[in-house]
Amino acid sequence: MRVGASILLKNGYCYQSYGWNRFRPLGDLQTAIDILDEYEVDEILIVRPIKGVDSEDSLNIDLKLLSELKTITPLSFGGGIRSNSDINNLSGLPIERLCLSSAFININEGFVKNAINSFGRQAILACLPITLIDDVICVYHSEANELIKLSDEIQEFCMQYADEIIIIDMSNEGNNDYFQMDLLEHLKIPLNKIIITGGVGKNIIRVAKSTGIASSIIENRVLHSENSIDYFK
Amino acid sequence: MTTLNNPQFCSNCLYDNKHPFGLSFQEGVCSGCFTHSEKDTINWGERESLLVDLISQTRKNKKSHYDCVVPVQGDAEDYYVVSKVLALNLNPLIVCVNDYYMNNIGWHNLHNLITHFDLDSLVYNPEINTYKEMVRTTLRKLDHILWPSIALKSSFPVHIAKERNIPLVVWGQNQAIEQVGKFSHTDSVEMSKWSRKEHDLFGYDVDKVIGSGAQIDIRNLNYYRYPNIKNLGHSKVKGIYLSNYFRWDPLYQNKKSVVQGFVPQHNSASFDIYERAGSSVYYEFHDLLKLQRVGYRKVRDQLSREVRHGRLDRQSALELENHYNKSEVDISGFFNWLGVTKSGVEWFVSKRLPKVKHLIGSSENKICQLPADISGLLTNSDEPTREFVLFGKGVSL
Repeated sequence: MRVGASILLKNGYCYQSYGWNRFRPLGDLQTAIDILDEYEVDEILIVRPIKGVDSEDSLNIDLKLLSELKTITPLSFGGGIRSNSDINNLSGLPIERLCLSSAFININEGFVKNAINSFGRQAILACLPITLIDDVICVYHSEANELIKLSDEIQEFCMQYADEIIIIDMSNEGNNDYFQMDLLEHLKIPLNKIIITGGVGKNIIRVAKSTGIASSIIENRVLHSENSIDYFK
Repeated sequence: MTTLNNPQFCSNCLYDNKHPFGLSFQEGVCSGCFTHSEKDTINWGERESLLVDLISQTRKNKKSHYDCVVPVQGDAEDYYVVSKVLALNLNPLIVCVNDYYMNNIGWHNLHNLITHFDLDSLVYNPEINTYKEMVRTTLRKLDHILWPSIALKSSFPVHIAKERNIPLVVWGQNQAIEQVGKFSHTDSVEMSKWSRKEHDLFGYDVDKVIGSGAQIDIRNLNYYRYPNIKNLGHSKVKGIYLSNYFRWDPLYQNKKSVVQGFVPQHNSASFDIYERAGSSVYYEFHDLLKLQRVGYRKVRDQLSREVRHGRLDRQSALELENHYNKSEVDISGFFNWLGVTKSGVEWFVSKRLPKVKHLIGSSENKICQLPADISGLLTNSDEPTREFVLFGKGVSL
């Protein structure tokens, strides 16, 4: 199982998120990526935390920063990629995989197919931030900035077009070892297609390995101590 | 979250989104103030128990006479850290890097720290020509004269821990938490190469700083670099911050150092007579460069801290900042130390300090009324009689 790290990027600056509602500053993107390279994480997920309307200026700042990034670790990128022109702007960036959320939740087949045409199917990730409300799995729809029921149709669409699906435990994001593995029992997605993040820690990684999950992405904590990835692995 | 170029001000403290460590905002309150509020809800007894457990774990890797390295400068905070380390029943090795900026008060405070607590110590005097060339380089490139000493102080103690198989490095406060709330105290963040570069060294490493312009023999730069982190991992060296385990209140805890023989130093740029007492540059040229570089002086950090501790309201803090911002600084001592000619200084001031040159003068004290909650934590302070004492030996009894 792969073990990676995620970084939130907005307006050219990196942040940490706690519980989906509290942001703390982190720092410079290249400085963080340099050390993650040195820690030899298996992959890095860079996400723009967009809630509701995005700004073109903000996206352009982040894309420019990405274009200047130097790294040897495979990068996935997503957040605020909502139009075909956004897809076109991503060409030439040092990213291996594209992470889409609203497009999958909206079941926007034309847009997703266009992304596949540009990047290849193996490079497409669906991102589903989920939480359990009254025993119903809900997904955060970032474009609408609201929680909606995660339908079977959305899950089937993700399985049809995405190479892997990132499942974020919204409630436990940023906390150590609190990812609710029970959430996965509510999904129709096979475990070997799932990347988990949101409260991932050493014990969660151990459990995830035993269940055949494709990858675990640690959020804030990778940078909280030296060589942390060795500890997590 | 910071919004592009729009300035955003905290409604509680004096910081804005231009803080060099970065700040995030929620409902008008900055991440630093939010994180500070944790101090009133955290069970500090439980945190201390966690620290005791962590120490017993690291002791299992102990292959040295010493339990830990404690990096010091002779600051009031160092007295507090050493007190805590000894109370935790640890046997520390005190490690100091001579930054060649200490005055007679600074040397007294360092030597008194070592003798008062009866500690084993190691003082590193970096090769001075290389050091001065590093200072010239970082002044030229970064408007910073402390960068070389920070680079050494944040790496040399770690080298010593690794070389001598000492499993723990104990630091005092984590500035990124105390100032901007970059992490929760309960994250128990540890020392790391990333944190050093991001926070202490402002995103630069030695190689980037020296570039092609500095006349430096790179063989003299070993201790300016952080140790190889894989080797550190093999040696099981870790660094912790006590401010994650004890409720950190610098002004309150620093006053206690006076009874242990620490001498506070009066300065015209701040009310805080404890922090960085004993430096010939900290509230002088360094403070001026900080204003030029980041847009505010050291006193804003200290006033914001006091607002958060409830000893000041925001309006009074703004008035005090306005008062201290007018204080003039003496830069002549620094340039004499660096060996710059009078015409060289004039060129530098006119070309490189246009925004702050009105503050260059003599650092005279002007009376300022402080709230009782703060003045009650201050005490008598001294003026230095000798600045830039390169080497200080012994302690007067």
